[in-house]
Amino acid sequence: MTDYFLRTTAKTNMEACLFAAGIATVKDGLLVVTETYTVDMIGAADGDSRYHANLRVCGDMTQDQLDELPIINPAPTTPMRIFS
Amino acid sequence: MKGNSFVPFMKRKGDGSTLNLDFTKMSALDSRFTFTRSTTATYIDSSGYVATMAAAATNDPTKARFDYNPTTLAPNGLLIEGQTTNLTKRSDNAFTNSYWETTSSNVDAADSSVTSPTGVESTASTLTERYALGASVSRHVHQLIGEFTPTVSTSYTMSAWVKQPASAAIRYVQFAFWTAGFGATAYMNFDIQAGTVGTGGAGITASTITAYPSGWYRITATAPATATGSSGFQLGFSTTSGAARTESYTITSGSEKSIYLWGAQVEAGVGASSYYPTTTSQGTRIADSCNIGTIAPFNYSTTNGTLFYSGIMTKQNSSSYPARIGFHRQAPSIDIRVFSALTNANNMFFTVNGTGGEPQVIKTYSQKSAFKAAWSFDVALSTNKLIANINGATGTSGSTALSVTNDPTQFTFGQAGYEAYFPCGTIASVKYWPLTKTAAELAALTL
Repeated sequence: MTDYFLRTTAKTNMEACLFAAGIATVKDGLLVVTETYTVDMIGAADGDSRYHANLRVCGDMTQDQLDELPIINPAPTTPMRIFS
Repeated sequence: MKGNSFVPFMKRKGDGSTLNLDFTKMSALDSRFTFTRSTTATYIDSSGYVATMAAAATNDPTKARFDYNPTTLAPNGLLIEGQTTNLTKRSDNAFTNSYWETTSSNVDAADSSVTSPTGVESTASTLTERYALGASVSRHVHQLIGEFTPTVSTSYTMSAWVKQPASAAIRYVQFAFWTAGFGATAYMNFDIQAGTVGTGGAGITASTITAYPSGWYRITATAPATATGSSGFQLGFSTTSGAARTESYTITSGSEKSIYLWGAQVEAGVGASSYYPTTTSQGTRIADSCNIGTIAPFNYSTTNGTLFYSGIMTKQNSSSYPARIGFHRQAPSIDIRVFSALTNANNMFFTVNGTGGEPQVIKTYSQKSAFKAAWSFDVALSTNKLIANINGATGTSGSTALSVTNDPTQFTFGQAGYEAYFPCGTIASVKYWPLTKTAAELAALTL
């Protein structure tokens, strides 16, 4: 089980990254997450107006998938929000 | 039937059901269920205390939560909740942290002499009026403040456990959302001696008070945000159950009163879900994912069927229509609600999906109240439509061209992929019959 902190300039960019990585799709206008993944769409975070999301992966990810994700590196030491 | 692994599902008891689950008589799910929830979560145990269940990152049915009424200790059944974030920080035992602001009040560190709502921890804090400004100051607002950022038109629910000390106790408390973000009327008073909701402003759309063991009450208040941006919530003291927002009153030195406080939470949605403690960050509890993958013993019929559901909804979803329970066809890219009940706001949408149509009946239920629902279909819908009933009130769908329903692959509780959307609450019991019950029979089931 691995957690990633993601950040893009806008929500549409975040969704595009999740689609490209095979983590989510749109169904009936909703962001629907694929099994083994959990996504928390956050938005602005602690004064940073860019779009943030948290991703929890219960399983493996390929390098190609990871390459599609806007992972914050290094991860924040005190994130605004976490899965715990 | 000895040795049949589906014996627990086949307790027909003469009613002909091929699926019969009474979660109020269970304390754990067995291996026939698939269950995951990759974060810890809390529930109310059989003693009425807030207990913590470990995470299940991979399939582990023993990590499902069975919830109890904290006042009566009656079993409520299987707790199935969507993904929820506690937007406060330092939520249970650190009200002295700088995240929390005080105005004319003091917060003491955890009082080791007071048992918290967990029944075992001594982590409750004391919130006390502060006499510091002198008699010449006309306005004293005694309160504790936490900040968060709402999104306009989204409803938020604040909740906390409060308790009166044995002496020098405040009787009335007030929850209020900040005017910035929620307007001036989003406040509500509570009488934590009588255990009743008082009166407040029109900006509050729902509020509750629930008794817990050892004199604790969990209080909740819900309001829709009127603006996006920095906002917050306040827990303050009142002198009456109908006090105005930012009520002014004066105290004298030495007469300060207090309350005990534990477990603050603010979450998006209408209603409070289970408590999710936080420390340095906001915390997100991941949804319960639960289904039965082997459904052959239920003898699912693609032409006739009846489902029964009873339970309590504690938090509503208003942004989509995820399944609460029902038969599904699940594959990596296919998720079809075959015969199920969906939820949105205070409505249940009863549907059957197949070739030629998707008839639907919508019925309303009350939040935090136990209700029973039953619904049936017959593919000859031009003469015998989809019929649904909640607590004795019947509805029927319009005529459709439905000719055959899809073949399901699982029976689901909640809906995989829609974790951010489905509601929270307990499921007391579920039944299925591969036949069509009449409107009168459905009414008899739900009364």
